[in-house]
Amino acid sequence: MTPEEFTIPDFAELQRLMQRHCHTADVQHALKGDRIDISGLAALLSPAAENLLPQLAARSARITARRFGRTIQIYAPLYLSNFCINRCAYCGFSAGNKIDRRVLTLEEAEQEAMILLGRGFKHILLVAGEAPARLGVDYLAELATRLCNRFAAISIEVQPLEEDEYARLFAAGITSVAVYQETYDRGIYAQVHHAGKKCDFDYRLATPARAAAAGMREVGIGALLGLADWRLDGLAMGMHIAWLRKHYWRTALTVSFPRLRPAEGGFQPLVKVNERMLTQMIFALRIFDPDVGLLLSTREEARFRDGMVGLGPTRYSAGSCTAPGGYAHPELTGEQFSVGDHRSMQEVCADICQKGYDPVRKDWDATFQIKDSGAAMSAPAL
Amino acid sequence: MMQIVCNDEKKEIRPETTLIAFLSELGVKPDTVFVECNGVIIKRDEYETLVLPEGARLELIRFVGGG
Amino acid sequence: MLTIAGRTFRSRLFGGTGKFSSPKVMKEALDASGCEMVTVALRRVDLANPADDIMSVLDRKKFLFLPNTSGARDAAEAVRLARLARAAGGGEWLKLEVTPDPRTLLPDPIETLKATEILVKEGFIVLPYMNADPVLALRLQDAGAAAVMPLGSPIGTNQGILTAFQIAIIIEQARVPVVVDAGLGAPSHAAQAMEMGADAVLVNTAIAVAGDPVRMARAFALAVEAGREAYEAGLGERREDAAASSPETGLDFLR
Repeated sequence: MTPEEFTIPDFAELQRLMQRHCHTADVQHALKGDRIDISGLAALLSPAAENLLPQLAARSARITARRFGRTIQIYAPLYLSNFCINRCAYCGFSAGNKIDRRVLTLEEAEQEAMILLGRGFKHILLVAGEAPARLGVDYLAELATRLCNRFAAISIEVQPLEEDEYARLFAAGITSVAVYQETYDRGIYAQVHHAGKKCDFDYRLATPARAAAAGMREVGIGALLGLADWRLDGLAMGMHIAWLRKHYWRTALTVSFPRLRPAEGGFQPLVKVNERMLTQMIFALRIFDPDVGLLLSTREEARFRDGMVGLGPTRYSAGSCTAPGGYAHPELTGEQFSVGDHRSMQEVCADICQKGYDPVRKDWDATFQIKDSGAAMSAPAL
Repeated sequence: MMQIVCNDEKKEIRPETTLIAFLSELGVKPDTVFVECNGVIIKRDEYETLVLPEGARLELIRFVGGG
Repeated sequence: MLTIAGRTFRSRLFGGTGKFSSPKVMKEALDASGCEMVTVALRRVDLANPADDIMSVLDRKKFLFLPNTSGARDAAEAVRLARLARAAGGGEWLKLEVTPDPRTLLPDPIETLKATEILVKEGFIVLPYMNADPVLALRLQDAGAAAVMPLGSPIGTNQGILTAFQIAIIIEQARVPVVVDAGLGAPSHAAQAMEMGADAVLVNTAIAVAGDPVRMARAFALAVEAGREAYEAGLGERREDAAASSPETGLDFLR
């Protein structure tokens, strides 16, 4: 078993799979089962399920409550750098864009983290464009070492790395890795990734597995909605999740559904994904995998995020700034995208409480992470 | 005569007795058992040539019914 | 078709060879069962009855022997028995069982995992008998087990599948085939395991001690086939909770 063994059928084949399971009866069947397989997921993502959206919501809500209780995890992104060697049509950090570029020094990054800590965050997501010469594994390892005793969880969303690099970051205190395929449609993928290492579809596809193989506690996958057929990207993510579960059972999994937001470069979505479509996708994946963490970021508006509390998503970002250094210096520009929910973390949490849910700021302590399991095992018993 | 131990029972054999001869004296068909001699598993093609040493500890084992 | 370690099996019923009233009855029952793999045990030759070789009635071309390590109380004993079985011409296939508690004959998870790690390295095709513990199943799989054999209920109890909830998780998670072993006392139990998606079942006592073992063997074969067919056909699911026909979940916030 190697990370490279995961493959995704081409979209024509996924389309045929969906067409075989796109009748109302298929949707009703999928809503009845305790566990559904990939054909059930296809039915829930199909146009036939649109008319049954309330039923999908009800089932998704029940499953979510049973597995996660009345809780929503809270985190904040910490943007470290907006340098990027890739040219991606949809991204504000794309190498061709004229934006203020900076990479935070370790001290600046620490300062940003301390601001988030002061605001009550215990889970941070370190984000950077892909420019390994400016921000590489050494940087991340050093920053993780400095932060891991102060934060409960430290995730990264940076360039894809090798398995041994992930292992090194895990040892330094990084708990989870997010790496989004953006789209599983090879044709569209090639169309929107113009230059840079990100053009290698297969290397990126194997990245979540590499992170899991390295021992990460959690791995996140995702598709950027607005590029390809969202139904088929949803199906592909279901397949990806199922494969990762089978092969890396120790690693918890999450899925993100970022919808394209206005960004530098003025890219217009290739397909329109409205809120109803987004919710259908969330409900379908929740019903398909009761245990997967589902993220809903500040790309979405407060109204939508409040409405979705309890229906499927389990983790919300809050108070986000997507420009490096933006927490200490709100006047800074150079953001990845403009956010849709401008509330502070306290406001987000208050609204979650209002809905009868508990905003959870941590559910693990990175400081408990055993960096060298061999040494820990040989330590005298308490 | 000399002594060996087979499946924890003491047995008297003549010197220079081969394994195959010993099995036949016991009434055991050689192809239905396999033999460990002093902790070493004996290959089937050595049954005819192996001369049992004084004090040898033999284990005669076979497949039986089991779930 | 069922494939374990590269070998395919038409029948998803595995038989046992213990507890039959005679070799003749055993042979007839196993023939009637259609099974292609049978477990066998290793024992010292009984010097008082040295000609008593019941296994010779079975055609080794027809039945793949799956030697077990029954009687082993720890990993070291199991490894020794496994090596002996291989030397005895048992091939690489092995049903690993480590049962330190003589009363229940429940398997020791720690010793079983240890023995699996050793035996896989030595080239054995290891099928460990285990309690229905999903994490243990994954650990055994990761250690290289060719299949996992969770128990339905303790050996010889005929209690059926008391561990259904855990076995369902094992079936859902495992990459290797899942063979439900032990405790299947009636064909309906075997059918239940197969309906749940088990890849195969192993039955010994219930056939061996039946009033008519040959007919019971046939009954199990039919049950296994029926259960598998039902699984593949896709069972209508039982409702786990009453679903309101007009759900109240509000989606009014959507634009």
